Amino acid sequence: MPDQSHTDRAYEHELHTVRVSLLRMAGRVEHMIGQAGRALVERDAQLAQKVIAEDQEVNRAEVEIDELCLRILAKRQPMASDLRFVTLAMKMVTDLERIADLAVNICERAVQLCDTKVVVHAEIPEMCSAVEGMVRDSIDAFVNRDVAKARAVIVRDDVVDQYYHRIFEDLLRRMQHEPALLHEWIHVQSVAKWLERMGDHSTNLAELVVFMIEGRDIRHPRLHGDRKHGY
Amino acid sequence: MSLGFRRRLLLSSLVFVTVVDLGVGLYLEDRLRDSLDSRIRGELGRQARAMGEVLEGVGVDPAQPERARATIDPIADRFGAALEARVSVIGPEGALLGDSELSLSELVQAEDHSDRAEVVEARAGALGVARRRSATLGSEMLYVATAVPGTPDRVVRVSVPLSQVDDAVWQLRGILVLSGLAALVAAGVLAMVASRLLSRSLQALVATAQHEAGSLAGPELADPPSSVNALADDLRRTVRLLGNERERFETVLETMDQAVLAIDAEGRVSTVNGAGRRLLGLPEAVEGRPLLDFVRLPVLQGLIDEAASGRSAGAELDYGVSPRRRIQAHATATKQGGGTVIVMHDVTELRRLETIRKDFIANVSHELRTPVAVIQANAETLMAGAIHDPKRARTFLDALARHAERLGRLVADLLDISRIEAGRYPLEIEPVDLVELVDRTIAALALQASEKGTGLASRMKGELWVAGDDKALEQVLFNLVSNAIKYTQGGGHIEVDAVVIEREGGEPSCLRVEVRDDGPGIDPRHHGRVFERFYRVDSGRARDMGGTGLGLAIVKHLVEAMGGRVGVDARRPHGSIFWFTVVTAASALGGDDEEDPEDDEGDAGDGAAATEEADGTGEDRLDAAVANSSHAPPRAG
Repeated sequence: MPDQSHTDRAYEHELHTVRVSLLRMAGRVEHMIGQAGRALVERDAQLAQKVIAEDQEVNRAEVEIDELCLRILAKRQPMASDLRFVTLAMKMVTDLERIADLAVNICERAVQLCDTKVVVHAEIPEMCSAVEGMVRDSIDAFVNRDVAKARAVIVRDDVVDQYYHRIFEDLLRRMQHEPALLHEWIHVQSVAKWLERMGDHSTNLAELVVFMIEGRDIRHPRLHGDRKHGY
Repeated sequence: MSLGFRRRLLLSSLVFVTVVDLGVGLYLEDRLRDSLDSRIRGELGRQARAMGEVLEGVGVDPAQPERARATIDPIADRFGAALEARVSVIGPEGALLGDSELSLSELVQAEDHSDRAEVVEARAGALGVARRRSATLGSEMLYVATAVPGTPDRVVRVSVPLSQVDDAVWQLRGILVLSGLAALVAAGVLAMVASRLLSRSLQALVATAQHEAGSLAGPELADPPSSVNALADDLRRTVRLLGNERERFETVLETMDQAVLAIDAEGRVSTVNGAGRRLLGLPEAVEGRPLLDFVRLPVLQGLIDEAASGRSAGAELDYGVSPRRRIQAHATATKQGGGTVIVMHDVTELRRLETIRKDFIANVSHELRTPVAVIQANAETLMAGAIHDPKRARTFLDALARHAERLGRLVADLLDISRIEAGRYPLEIEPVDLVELVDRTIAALALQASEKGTGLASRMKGELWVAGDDKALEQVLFNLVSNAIKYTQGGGHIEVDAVVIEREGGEPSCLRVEVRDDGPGIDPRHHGRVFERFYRVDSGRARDMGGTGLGLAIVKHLVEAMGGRVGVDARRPHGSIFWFTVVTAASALGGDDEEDPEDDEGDAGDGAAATEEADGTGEDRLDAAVANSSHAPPRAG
């Protein structure tokens, strides 16, 4: 059976590669969120451009991981937890890529805001940290198979939403008082909105991690009235 | 050499086989003889009984022995021939009535058999057994006798020569000896082969051992134990040495300030020291797990990749969210195994200080350049002819003087701050009346305030004795109040107040002196930095105000030199509260000789809460403080 074990080893190696690539991609995305926030607050157009350039790497990683996962699905027909892992990786990659895109959007706005007098809200960097922490904890939960941590991330999305609502209310007020800066305030609003969306994507990540560990789909809890079991 | 060892091995195995062989042989022979004996005995008994059954039907007249013999002897003869044994029949008086080995004539002459042991036993009703030399035949015999049923005085006796039994035993012994010899030969051959193999592998072992140990002289194979012992000693020594080495290595690694992280070719953490754990916030059980499970910094991964491709690489990276650390990392591939060693140090503080220094130099040059340029320009204009126009010359000279004065102030401030920083600013801590000092400061700045239309007032009455350096305190107050005047637009209000923040046995021990304004306030983001040298919240505006950018830095240094703290809080609805703490004269210089009156950092966070209090009840509390301090030593401030 040397052939069999050879196949097993190659298979193991492929799964390992998926895992490593996924973690590296996640690390890059985490980093991009933080850097985007910094570029915005410190009015660092250079840093913003660097983050925008980094998106290329994320896109490449997405394509690579997707391809590898498809190859594993086609060639190895993985079962049970391996199957969950591979499909999960494909979904996580999508969310991570979306988060990176949003970080790029923020950086583009940061470049535009660099030249204006607008001081972004102190909550924006806090929101960045919160989202970055959510992504990091989702991935940590994935690494350590820590369901409790993943569930904690899902709860934290509310905090990000609250940030967004506070900033939004404040922006409405400012727009009324300083119509001259309307353009800039709308940029800030977009940034806040994108951060809020990043929070949603992080929640998706955490839900996927719960699914991987428990094999139970916790997305859209209302659906489960009709459909008792997950997969 | 090896022969001795092998011979010993061979000999011992031969001796072992022989002993086992002999033991087994003797035991088997004994058991066999026993079982053969009892079998023959049983057989003879049955034969004797059968003969007895036959004789029961043969009636003989005891009175006529001749006839009886003639009847019985042929039967005995026939039985004897059939059984290949001697069959005898013994009459009542012990006379032989028949015997397969004797003719009729010999029977008569045969001696009396009634005293034979087996016959006696048989007559008693049992099965008689005896083993002895036959007097009649002259050979070793086994006799078995039984009484003929019905006629108890007649006894049938069957006997076989014991040589038959001995023959069987001898036969067996032969087989045993032969098989024993065969076993011996086989064992010998096997032992030889085994000893050869064993000795060969032992030789190899010892050779390897010696080679590995590399320290033993001469391949003394004749004595493998000694070389193996030497090897064991060597091994023990090496293990101990390695243990020491390892311990030393670990101690060095652990006490290093730099973080060291080693990962293997698969990206798993193989070693990390304490500094590394702390810097990267790693958990305890991290060895053997992929680094990516814990740290996913793209820059660090890039360094590792680069190191893996053979180039050692260095970079600076940001790690963590709050606090964000600046880490300088350097990755090098290990010589073997494809791993990577990363050495990191935390350069956050270093970079911060560098930035401050860079900013300082840039700021100083910038601040100096402006007045120098103005002076230069005015002087040149004067020299170019303006000096002959008295009206215009006056303007230029005014500007010259103003900027020269500003330059002088700047240089004086710089000198002050460098003196304070170097610890060469002599401070004389003595009781100072804070109320009087505040009044003096307000009087000095009253003109400046009224020019801007800003209200300036002290909210303190009576006397309030604090421990401090009179000159330093005055400068602190002056800087804070003039700062407040500068940054408060016309029509604003500035007030100076003191709040008791700590009491000792009912007496106020620590005060917070506050300079409150209702200006535009400072964004909380700047609160931590306004006391830095040349730090400008709004750089353009501040310079218009004629500030040197050093006032607050001097305040901070002076207050800290007196053991106090400084800070700034936001005031509601707008404005700022600049404050510093100072200990009362009573607590610092009075009865209880408290050396270090400065309270610990724990209170620093309460600044906002204290301000709240101050807003509501500050006045009452101040009055109390003043009342309490009225019996402080009345000394001229």
